[in-house]
Amino acid sequence: MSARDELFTRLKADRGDDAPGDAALAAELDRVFAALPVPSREGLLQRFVERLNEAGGEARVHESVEHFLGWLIGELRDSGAASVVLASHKDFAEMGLSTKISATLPALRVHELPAAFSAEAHSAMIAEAEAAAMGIGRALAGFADSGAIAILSSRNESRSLSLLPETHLAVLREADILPDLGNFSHEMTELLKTDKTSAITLVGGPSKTADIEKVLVTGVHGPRRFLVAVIRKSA
Amino acid sequence: MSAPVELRPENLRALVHERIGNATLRGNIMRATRTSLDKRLHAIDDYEDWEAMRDAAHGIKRLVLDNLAHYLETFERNATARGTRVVYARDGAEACAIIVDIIHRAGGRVAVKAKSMTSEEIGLGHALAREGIEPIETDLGEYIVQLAGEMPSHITAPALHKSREEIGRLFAEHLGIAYTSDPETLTAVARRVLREKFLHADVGISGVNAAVADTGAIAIVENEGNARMSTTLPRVHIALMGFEKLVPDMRSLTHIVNILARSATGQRISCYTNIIAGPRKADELDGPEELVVVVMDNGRARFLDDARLREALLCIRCGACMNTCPVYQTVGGHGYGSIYAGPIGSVITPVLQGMERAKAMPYASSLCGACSDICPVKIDLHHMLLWQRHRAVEGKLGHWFERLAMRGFLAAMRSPFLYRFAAKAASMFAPLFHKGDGTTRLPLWSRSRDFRMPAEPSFRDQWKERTHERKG
Repeated sequence: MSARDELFTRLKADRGDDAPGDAALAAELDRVFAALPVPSREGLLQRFVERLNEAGGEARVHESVEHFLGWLIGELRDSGAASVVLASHKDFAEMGLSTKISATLPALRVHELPAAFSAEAHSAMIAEAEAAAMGIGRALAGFADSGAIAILSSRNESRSLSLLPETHLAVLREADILPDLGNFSHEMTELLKTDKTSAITLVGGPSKTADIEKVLVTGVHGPRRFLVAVIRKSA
Repeated sequence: MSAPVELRPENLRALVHERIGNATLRGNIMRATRTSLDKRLHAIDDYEDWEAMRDAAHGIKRLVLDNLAHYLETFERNATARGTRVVYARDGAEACAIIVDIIHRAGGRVAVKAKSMTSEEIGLGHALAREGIEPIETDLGEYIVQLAGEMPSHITAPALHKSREEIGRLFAEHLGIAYTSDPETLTAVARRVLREKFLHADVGISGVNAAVADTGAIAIVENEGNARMSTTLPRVHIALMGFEKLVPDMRSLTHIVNILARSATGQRISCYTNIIAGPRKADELDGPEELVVVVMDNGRARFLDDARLREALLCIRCGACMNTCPVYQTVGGHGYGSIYAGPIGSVITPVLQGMERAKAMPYASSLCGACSDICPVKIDLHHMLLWQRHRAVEGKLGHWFERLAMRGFLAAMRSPFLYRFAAKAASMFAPLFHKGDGTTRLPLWSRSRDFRMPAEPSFRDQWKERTHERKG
């Protein structure tokens, strides 16, 4: 008997013949969750900002897209960044992100992501992300109870963009801030079941460690800084 | 300096003695466990009713435990549909052989490893090295422990037992840098060395914090970003999990994520929760070309046979029971000699490695119950420890003298006559063993505890005297 069959035989014997069906198990699970209090919808933005900052991230709230762009350009200028990697989302193009950065900071190289995967494009993309001062991507959702965000691997946003550069900046719309992670589970299920992505990453702060005598050090493997630019609803 | 005692559960007594006199080590462990506990209190304060969170976590994992075949089959079906290969291993040796084979087929020579207790459990690193594959631990704590040729001493802080000076000397020796004990500098050095490894490794190996049945996704929780690296850059990603790591759906996963970091390190959420369903899709820009999930038994099914121990399979490996345990706080993870230390380690090691080897572990507890109180999935740890002691005694694994003494004690407690006789005999003979400080030296019994001199006159005589006075 194969290892698989042996294990399944053993596990099936444990349950016996009265194994409940999908519907019964789903109902049982619903009962478990029904006992939990509903998370508060009060002060989502404020809690998100506080908790992200507490976790070592940096939240920046912007009243308008123009305000956001102005801040970003200032941030890049002040840090002396030589190059950035930019996700190719449609709304980034609509904001004029790439053109405005290039127009104001001509010396800064803005790397766009390749249009499709190929071995050569992949190597070049990794090398660019490795050298970039900042990777700029989107946050699909933010969570007020922890200050974390969800990011998605897609044709428009590589995983390495938010992993290899010194700084990861995620752009989040205020409307996408949810009370907690549980409120996002349905959307995650849909994304995975419809094969929209192979990787959803919840990011709760900059890469960090306390493995040497519990001393906190950021940027152990991934980004040293984790920025979330929140664009207000009115914008 | 004499050679250190080998880290094996059989050596528990010697390991504890070795550590109990080491003030630096004890200070480090105490500080680290206290920090985690304090931060945890702050983080669970987010919830008006943390008990409800624990109850729900227990409910989710209990449902899985009672329907393992169903959820494993569902996971396998959905994971396979997303292009993940799911393979099974009876034990550690089989899991190692499978992983070696995958790496050889992929033409791999270097494997970057994210932290995984399960891979430590089966000695995967050594197995890879024997087959000519260079295994590189990439979690900073694990990397330190690997350079030192040791094993991790805490689930979430593997190098808890090492001082910054020791780590500085280790890095100077192995990485050819000038000696420094500055954690920031040492971390930067590790970043530089390991980044190169990530960029050139053929295979990434990780554990699994939870496998989600209804989507076939796996979740890997971490703070450093090394698991993200290991599951993003190499061509092949191999994830190793015990079959008990299942959760029914994404909603259940988010609940586990909500309680895990809060219980483990006192963070609200870890820096990275990697939710991975299959290899890179055709239109995605990066990610591994191949994802293999190795589902392992390695003794876990044995828990199903014992109604009093089966809930040990609910464990989500947060380490809170260790942080709160007065024994762990004193001797640290290495004191137990098992890769799984603390209360949960003392419950599961006798099952995974056999009671004969691990019979001392259930006794490394005061049975105070702090572990059961803190466990986020409500495992009744201290009663399990008591039960493991029972099993150790049933198995006639105790010392013959202790068993004889216990039998005598039982007889005396059941008969007033025998009790009086034994008490008299004790006060008569005790002076022969008196150490001069009010305690006695009894063979075996008093090796690790004090046994006070019997009171003179005895309690019974004093009582008789008093009641007599009062009546009179």
